[in-house]
Amino acid sequence: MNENFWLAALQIFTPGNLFFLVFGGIAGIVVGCLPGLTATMALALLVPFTFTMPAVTGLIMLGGLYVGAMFGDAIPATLINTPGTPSAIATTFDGYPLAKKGMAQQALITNAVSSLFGGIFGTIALLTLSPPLAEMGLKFGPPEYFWMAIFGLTIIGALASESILKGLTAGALGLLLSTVGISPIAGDVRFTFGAPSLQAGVDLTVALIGLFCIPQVLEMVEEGAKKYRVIQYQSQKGLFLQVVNYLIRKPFLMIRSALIGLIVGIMPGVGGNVAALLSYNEAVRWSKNKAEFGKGTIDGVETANCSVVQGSIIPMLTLGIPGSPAAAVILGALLLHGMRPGPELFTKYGGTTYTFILSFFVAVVVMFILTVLGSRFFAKMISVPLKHLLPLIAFLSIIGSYAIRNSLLDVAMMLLLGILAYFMQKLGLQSGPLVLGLIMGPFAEQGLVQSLLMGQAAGSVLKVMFGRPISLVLIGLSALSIAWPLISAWRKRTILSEAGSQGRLFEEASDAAVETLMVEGEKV
Amino acid sequence: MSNTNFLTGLLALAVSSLAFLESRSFTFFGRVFLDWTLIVLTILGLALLIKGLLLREQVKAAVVKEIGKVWLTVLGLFIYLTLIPIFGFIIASVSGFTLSGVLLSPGPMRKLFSTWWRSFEVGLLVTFIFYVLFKLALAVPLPGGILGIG
Repeated sequence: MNENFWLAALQIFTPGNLFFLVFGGIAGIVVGCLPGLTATMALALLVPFTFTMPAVTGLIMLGGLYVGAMFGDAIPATLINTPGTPSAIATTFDGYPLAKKGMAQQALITNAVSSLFGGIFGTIALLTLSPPLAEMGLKFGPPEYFWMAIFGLTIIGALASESILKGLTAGALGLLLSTVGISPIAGDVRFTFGAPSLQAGVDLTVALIGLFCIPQVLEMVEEGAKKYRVIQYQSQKGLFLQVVNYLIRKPFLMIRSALIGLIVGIMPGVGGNVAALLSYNEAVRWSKNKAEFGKGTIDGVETANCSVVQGSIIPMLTLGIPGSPAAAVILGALLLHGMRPGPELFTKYGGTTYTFILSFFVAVVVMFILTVLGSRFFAKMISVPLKHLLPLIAFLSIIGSYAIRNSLLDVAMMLLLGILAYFMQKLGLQSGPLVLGLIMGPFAEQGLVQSLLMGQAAGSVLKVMFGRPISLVLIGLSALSIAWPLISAWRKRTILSEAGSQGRLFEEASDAAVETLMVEGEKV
Repeated sequence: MSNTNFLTGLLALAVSSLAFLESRSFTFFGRVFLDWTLIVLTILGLALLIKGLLLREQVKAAVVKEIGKVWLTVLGLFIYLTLIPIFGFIIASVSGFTLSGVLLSPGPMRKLFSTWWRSFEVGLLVTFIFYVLFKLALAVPLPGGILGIG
């Protein structure tokens, strides 16, 4: 931490930055309120509009949106039993039953308070963990950057998809897409098919919008309009303090959830939904009133989704590996503003980076106030008809991709990529690893080519590529990230088959014993 | 119902074969990263193909339920894209919003004047907000078309 820190703190409170933080936050809450829309999609839509802003303002707006979505997604989860984003899945388990009991306001306040706590906890972690982690980047040379890109791709490919093979295939397709245009060192013109506009490569913003927004529009068209019955509630005075008093007496619940969110957020490819489910599971496991869960208890509403945001930003800022697809979009915005993740972010661009990090403190407080005071207003957004919502997203995507270079060719490219991504998603190839491949591709290629040149100069390419300690660690981690899901699936199958065979032995002895074993098997 | 592993494997192999053929004219340093990517993609494609053949999984998720609506939306987006350079952002957006609002309404509602009017109102309002927000506040250039309105 240096003198940039204090200057950065002051930067947040300039009128422009504050305005865009609140604007992004409100947009995030609205997106969170609308089931089917995701924070990633909204971030991708906003990225092109940050071009005309200073980098710091754009990043603050995107950060505000990401936080806002994590606050807003609990509103539909509580009032219509449908999570606004996948991160709010666990909120439906007890939030909706509470709302049905006439305690919707308690559930929404609980979510806001726990998100505030999680957000502050996550921001402190982001602030303290990022600079030392980024310093590690000073030891990186071209081979390390190459292996880091490979590690990022393997871990996201392996964890972010239902199938490792498909996740890795999507990542490899992203790498292939990143080779379009003039090659970094040799200057070959690759895969442009005679189109001069492709010589600069596939524009990242165009790809982000196309890959994240258009498939969602088409998916919503396919699903059709859904009618939700929103549970209505009346605001009651004094409830806020009651809920806060209750939660203050549950420090372990709050800290545990925030910690789970942070750790899961740091792990690339593991989404907020996993954090929320893990946190819920732990809340049940440690509770004395397990039977209350699922029927409507305040302890069940407390989830980990907000600290996931800052958790996912940590590896993105320091190592260039986004912890979530939304963080990948923010990484794209960083790169578009000419900022490369790593130590440079905390030295050369220290002012911007610290302002961005510190803005999360302000964002969580502002979002907390907005959701506590405005939940009933935001709940009305749930009923926005699909026929107005879909054209809005589609047209925003078109304006966004046009705004980058005033080129309708970019818009056409965005649409083509989007349609392709929609059908690829039908095959199980997710956009997340594909986008990461596109982002990491240039780093990986530059790292590989420079390493080969270094190897030729040193007399041994193998020694340069495989003989450096950090490279070896990264190679090991890459191998582990591919092997781990396979090992864990194999272990799961073994345990289940063992439980099954033991179950059959027990069946002969006693029905009751079998029942116990199956329960244990389920726990495993 | 379709075997998504098999189809994904075929896709990966097709893409890598095409890229391989196209890349033969590149120099060594322009090709080396590409070659490694293609090797990985080919291995993954083959693995998916074999997995698809061995497991013969029929995954329901691969089915596009409303393919007609999806293609209609895609067509609508490309029509909007074609109209922008001619009529400019404002006229193309208002018409686009109105038409999509009507088309996305339930069948019997589409013939009602009120549906058209309501969609037009929303189109006008949204286009106005977009115009003020992007063109005036964020200085984002919007296409004016041959009429110069945008």
